[in-house]
Amino acid sequence: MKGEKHIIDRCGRKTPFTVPEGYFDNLTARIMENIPAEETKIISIAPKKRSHWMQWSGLVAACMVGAIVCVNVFNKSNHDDSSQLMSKMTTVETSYEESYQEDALNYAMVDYNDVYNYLSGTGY
Amino acid sequence: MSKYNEEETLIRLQNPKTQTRAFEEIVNHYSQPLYWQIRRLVVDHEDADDVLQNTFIKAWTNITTFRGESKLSTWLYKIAYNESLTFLNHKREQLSIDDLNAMTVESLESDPYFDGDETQLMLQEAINSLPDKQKAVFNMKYFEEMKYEEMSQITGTSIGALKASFHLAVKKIEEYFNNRD
Repeated sequence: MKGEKHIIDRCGRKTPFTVPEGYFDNLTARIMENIPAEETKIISIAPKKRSHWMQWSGLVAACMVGAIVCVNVFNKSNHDDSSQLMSKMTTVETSYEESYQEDALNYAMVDYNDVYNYLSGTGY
Repeated sequence: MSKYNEEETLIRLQNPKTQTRAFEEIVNHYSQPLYWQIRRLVVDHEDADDVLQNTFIKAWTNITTFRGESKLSTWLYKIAYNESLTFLNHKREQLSIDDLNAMTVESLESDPYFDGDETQLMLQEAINSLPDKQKAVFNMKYFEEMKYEEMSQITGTSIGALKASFHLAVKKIEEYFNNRD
C-alpha cells in the first residue's frame, strides 16, 4: 500500500516507547501475586437436607396460614359485593404488571460494558 | 524457566494440581507482547501496567472457558484488546475526546518512557486522533504486522471491514502529516 509505505519511510515501524529499568524482570511474579488464589466455588442449587421436625413444623405453619387466609376471605366476601372484589383484583393485577414492566426495562438497559462483562464472564 | 511448550502447558493447565504453574508459564511467555499491544493503545506506562494485570486476572478467572477453538495467543490478545477499550471508555467518561487526545500528546512530550523523535511524536499524535477501534487496527497491522485473519478473531470484525478501517486510518494519518508539513 502506497500510503502505508509512505508512513514507514518517514517514521519507521519501531514502537517509540520504553519501560522503567527492570520492569519486565519481575513482571511475571508481580502478575502472579495478583492472581486470585481461591479456586472457583461451585454453588450447589440442590435443596439442603432438613430434619423431620423442621419439615413437619413448616407444614403445620403453612396449614395454619392457609386456614387464616381462608377464614378472612370468607368473612370479607360476605361484606364486599362482587364489583368491589373485582376492582381490588384489578388493582393488584395492574400493580403487578407495572412492576414487571419496570423490571423488564431495567434488564433491557444494557450498555457496552455490561455486554462485555457478560461475555468475558462466559468466555470468548 | 525452561523452554515454553504451549501444547504441554495447555495439558497441565487442565490439571488442578499443575494449573497455577502452567498459568505462570503462560504469563511469562505472553506478558511482554501483550504489554506492548496494550501500551500502544493506552500510551501511558502505568495505565498499560494496570490493564495488563487486569488482562491476566480475567484470563485466569475465565481459563476454564478456553476451549482451544482459537490459539491461546489470540484468546489472550482478545482479552487485552477488550480490556484496553474498556479502560479507554472509562477514561473518556471523565474527559472529553479532545481533552484526552491533548493530554495524551502533552504527556508524551514530557514522558520519560517515550524515546521517539519529532516525526514519531507526530505519528503518535495522528494515531491518537483516530477512534479507538481504528487505532487498535492500525497498531496491530502497522507495528505488529499482524495478519487480517488473526485481527478478525481478536476484534470480532470481518476481514473486509478491517481492511477498510486500516485503509481509512492510513489516509487520515497522511492527511494529518500533510496539514502539519
